[in-house]
Amino acid sequence: MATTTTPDGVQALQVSATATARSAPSLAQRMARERWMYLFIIPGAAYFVIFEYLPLLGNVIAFQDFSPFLGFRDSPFIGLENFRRLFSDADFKLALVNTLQIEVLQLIFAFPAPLVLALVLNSIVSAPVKRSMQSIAYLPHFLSWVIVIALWQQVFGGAGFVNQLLRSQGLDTINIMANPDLAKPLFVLQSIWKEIGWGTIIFLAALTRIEVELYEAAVVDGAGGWRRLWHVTLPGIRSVIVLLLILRLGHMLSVGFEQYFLQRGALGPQAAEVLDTFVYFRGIQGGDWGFAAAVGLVRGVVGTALIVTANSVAKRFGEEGIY
Amino acid sequence: MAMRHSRRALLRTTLGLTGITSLLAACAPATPASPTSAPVAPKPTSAPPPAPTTLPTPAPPAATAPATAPPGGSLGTPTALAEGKLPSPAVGVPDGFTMMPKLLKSYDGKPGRGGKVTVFTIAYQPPPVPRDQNQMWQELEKRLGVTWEPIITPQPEYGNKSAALIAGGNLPDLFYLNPGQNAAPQYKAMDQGAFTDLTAYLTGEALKAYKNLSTFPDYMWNNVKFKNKIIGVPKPLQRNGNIAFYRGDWVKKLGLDAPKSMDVLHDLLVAFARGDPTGSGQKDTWGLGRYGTDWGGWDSTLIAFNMFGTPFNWRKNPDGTLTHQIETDEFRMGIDFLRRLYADGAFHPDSAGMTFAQCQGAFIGGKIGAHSEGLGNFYSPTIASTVYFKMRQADPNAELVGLYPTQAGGAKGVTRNTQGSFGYTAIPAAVGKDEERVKELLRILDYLAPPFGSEEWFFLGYGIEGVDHQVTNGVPVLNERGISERGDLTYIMAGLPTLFIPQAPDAVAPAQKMAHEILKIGIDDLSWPLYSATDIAKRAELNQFGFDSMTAIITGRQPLSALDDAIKEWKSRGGEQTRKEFEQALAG
Amino acid sequence: MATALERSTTVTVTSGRPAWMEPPGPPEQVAKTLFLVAIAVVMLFPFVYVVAISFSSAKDVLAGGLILWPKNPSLDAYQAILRGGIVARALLVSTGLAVFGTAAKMVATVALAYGLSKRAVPGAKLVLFLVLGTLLFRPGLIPSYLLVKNLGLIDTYQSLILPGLISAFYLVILRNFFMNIPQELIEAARLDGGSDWQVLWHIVLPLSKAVLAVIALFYGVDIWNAFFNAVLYLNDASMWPVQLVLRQYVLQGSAMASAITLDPNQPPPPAQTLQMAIVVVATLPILVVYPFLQRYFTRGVLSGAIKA
Repeated sequence: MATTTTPDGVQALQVSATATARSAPSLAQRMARERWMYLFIIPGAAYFVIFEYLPLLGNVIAFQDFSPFLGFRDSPFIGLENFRRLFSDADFKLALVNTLQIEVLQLIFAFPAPLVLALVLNSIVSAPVKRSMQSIAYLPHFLSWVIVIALWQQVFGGAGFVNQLLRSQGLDTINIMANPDLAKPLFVLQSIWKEIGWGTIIFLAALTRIEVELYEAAVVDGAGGWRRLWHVTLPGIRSVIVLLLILRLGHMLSVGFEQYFLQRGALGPQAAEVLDTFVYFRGIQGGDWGFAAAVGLVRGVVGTALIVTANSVAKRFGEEGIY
Repeated sequence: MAMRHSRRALLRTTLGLTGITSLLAACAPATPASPTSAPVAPKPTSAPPPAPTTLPTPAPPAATAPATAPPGGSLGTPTALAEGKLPSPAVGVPDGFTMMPKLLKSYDGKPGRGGKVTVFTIAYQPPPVPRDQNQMWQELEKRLGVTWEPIITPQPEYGNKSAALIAGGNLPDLFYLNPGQNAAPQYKAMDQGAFTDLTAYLTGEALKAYKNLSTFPDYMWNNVKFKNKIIGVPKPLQRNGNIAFYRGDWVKKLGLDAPKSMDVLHDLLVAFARGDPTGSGQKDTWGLGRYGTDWGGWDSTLIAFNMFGTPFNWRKNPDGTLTHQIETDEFRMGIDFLRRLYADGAFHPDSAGMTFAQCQGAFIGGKIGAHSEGLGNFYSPTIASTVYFKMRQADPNAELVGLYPTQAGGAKGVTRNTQGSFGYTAIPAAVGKDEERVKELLRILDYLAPPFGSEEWFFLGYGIEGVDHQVTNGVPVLNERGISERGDLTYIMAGLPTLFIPQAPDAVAPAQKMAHEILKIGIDDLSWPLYSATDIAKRAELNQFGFDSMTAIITGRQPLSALDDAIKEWKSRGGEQTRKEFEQALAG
Repeated sequence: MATALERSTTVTVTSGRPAWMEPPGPPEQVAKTLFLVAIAVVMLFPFVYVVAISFSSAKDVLAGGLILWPKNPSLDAYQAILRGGIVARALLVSTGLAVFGTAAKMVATVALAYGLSKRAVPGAKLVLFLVLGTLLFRPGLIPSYLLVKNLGLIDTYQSLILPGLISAFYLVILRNFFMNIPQELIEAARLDGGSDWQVLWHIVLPLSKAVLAVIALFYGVDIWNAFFNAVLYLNDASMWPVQLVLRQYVLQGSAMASAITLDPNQPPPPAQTLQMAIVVVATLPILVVYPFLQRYFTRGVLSGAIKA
């Protein structure tokens, strides 16, 4: 290690500089060392550039009065006009508020639901029972929203099973499917019912990774069922939970389209208008592609902010996060 | 015109996946859903299926080409025999036929010059059998003299595909436009010159080259003009609108009379709900349902606005100004009528969210007592696969009675006409530069609109004997293979509507009379031939707004006085601007 | 390589209580059983209903009410759908797409996820951001169409596989699972002289069977259910996948009597029976394939490897 007669700071710097020069490889060296990995990365990256980013440039229409016939080149450029129209639209605020309210409810109820079910299923001892229960639970996922709503109408609708029963007993009928006040809980309940089974899949996969020895050790330490859950199971899948939560936050402004579109007529826009239906009626049906693209950009920006925030928070808690 | 929604549009144009409604809804498009409302715009209900009954054996097609006919042109052959024909009493009322006619050739030679014709068409059927196994398709190409390549597009995605094709540049030779399904983008494209102006080809002397198209009544052409230009060849549709139908047997059972006034009509519909007309002892019937989400959505049964004489969108005042229906007293009365029906329990409890399929099902199944849709469904209970037929299957005592608006509404009653067409076929501008090509394409469209009773009409409807249809008791019946081969191959064009009901020839005369009565009090939407940029941009939004406002008032969430606020808001959302522009267009 | 893997013993947990778990007390048993029965009923009932309607005749449907067992069973709806061989061909198309498409997507996604899971690779983070960006900003319909058109992929099956070849969402999940594989195993393999490829093939993939099965399932189901790209990129209707074809039967069924129909003695089946039969036909293949994949994510595969 070379020493010099310069002041300490500089000396130390020189020392460490030399040390780094000898022990840490340069960027080029690291790239060379990892060159095989690039074989894995480059094709995938190329896919994203070509098939995702190239067409993403098309979002320039958010700043245009775009029409398909004129195309990108000849459609007039209108700067921020689409955004101005968007933010001054009263229905936009309504749709935004509804969307956020629904999403918050989803986060509180619909997000944990598959996790809870997965934990219950995981604790089933008999493998055939476990597997068949899980298979039964996922069935509603394959029904389209059209059929799901029709089924719910059959049971809960004004002329549905439940109301028929009430009527035959001489009781008052209840209004579930056309009641704006019940709209948001209704939406969340429908989502849970439809997706809870399918949602267990990824959690079950994550649960399989928890090493048996950890459970054995916990039992030896005298931990009962709930403590094992808290100290072994949940920590074991924590990173997946956090990952999915962050991803979900990135889509906070998208709660779906079909489910709301189908019930909007019955419940009224005050209760059922969400961002996706708003864009549909304003943008798509009116052939206002630029406007629709503008909404998309707003969504992307908000989503980015949310993901970045969520990711840093996660990191602060010692989690990996998304990146 | 009802607006159709193109659902998947959302997926792609809004930046956002369909939404993670659960943790893992795999962020791919959600599972496919069927369209939520069946076509509300009437589809051709004339020329219903011929069926095995004893009808005179059709003679084999006789060639009657006059020697002087131009090669490859339609012959303008008068349709069918005089025997069994009930000629139309007025323009817009279809001819009636009680017998299968003797088939006559109506086209000499081939319209095409060889080569390929690509066609953008909407589709309501499963895709046709692929060409190499499809005898009808091959025969069609022989007759047309071209290779026929349809781009079969499912109705729900029609708007998106239309936009993509237009954006993509090289459009197909024939482009089916249907602003009723996809107004704004298509009108914009028309305005920007995406399609050839066909006016010169299809008016005056030039039109005579296409004998079949020449028989199209003027209203068909006028109602689809864009800025006074003919942009496409309309696909014929029966001109008269619809009326309501109600359960006559229920009326009898409840000891009531046919409604002669609006009050009686109200009480009748309420009685359907409260009076237990089926005698089941249960409360399982109601007066009416509804479907559709535009201005007429709450009155799909046609028992309100038509009765009060509400204008068809716009009313022209003597001083040349226009009043929109929402501003009229008749509209207010109509909404009030519906509101009271709802409050008194006459509406099916699921009405607010009903789809067309549900409403139709409720009527067929005897859950609601009044309904309206395509007229052909109500001609006779013996015509298979019609609403009346299915209803009789469920309840052999079912009787349907038509309700003319003048019966309950008196002198003010009106019906709403159709444009006389369902979409029109245009020729893209690039293709249109070649004059000979345009004429060739028009000749092909001319071929595809053959007169009733012609050999060409027979082929396009029934395909090839032994393969696509069987002849039983002298009457052809399309078989499974026939349906699969035919599909939507030539959906874009059809011949003029006629009334031909082989299963019930006696029903033809009454059906024709009904069409005539309906047409007598029929009114048009006078904005059809007019152009307004704001209308194009705002129509979808205003339609939706209209429906939402009506829903709130009719279901009782808001009082009738909320209509005044709705009118104000309608004006500020673009209604006032639209009015001005239409008034200008009207003035010339 | 082999030694590192030997050090991790894979234990497949079969039926029967694991040694460490104590038997549940009665209240727990009852609660769990009730809960599971409730779930089973609530989830099964709609499917029973769907199947029942699909086998119903017009009479049953018109009578209305909740049908759990058709009084007059009929195969009309299925016959209507399966005649003419159109659905059969579409099923073939969809199966081919699902098999080859899933394989392609898995290879592409696994490769990229693996590549991005090694922290030491310079530039990996950048590519990761690139991928994450597509989660938040998606291209519109028209630009996507123009791209596919300009690549000459219109009317090809590739157009149904290449756009969306790698899903950012699944990639992120896969990467997360890869990164959570105990580093000791990977270190050991590297020390033994294993290359990146060998690490992937001998360590990472075998230990990731569960998540690989899950992502393959997700991709497969996505392809199977997809129809929108087909409408957009295919002009030739004979190439349609099954969902697109099936939808048209419902459209046809609920549309008003078209100009010319079948033999009137055989009216077409009611729209609801068609709709439900379609759900059954469309979902059946997935239900059949699913159990084969399910075993991978309902069994433990990792045990006792860390104390090396």
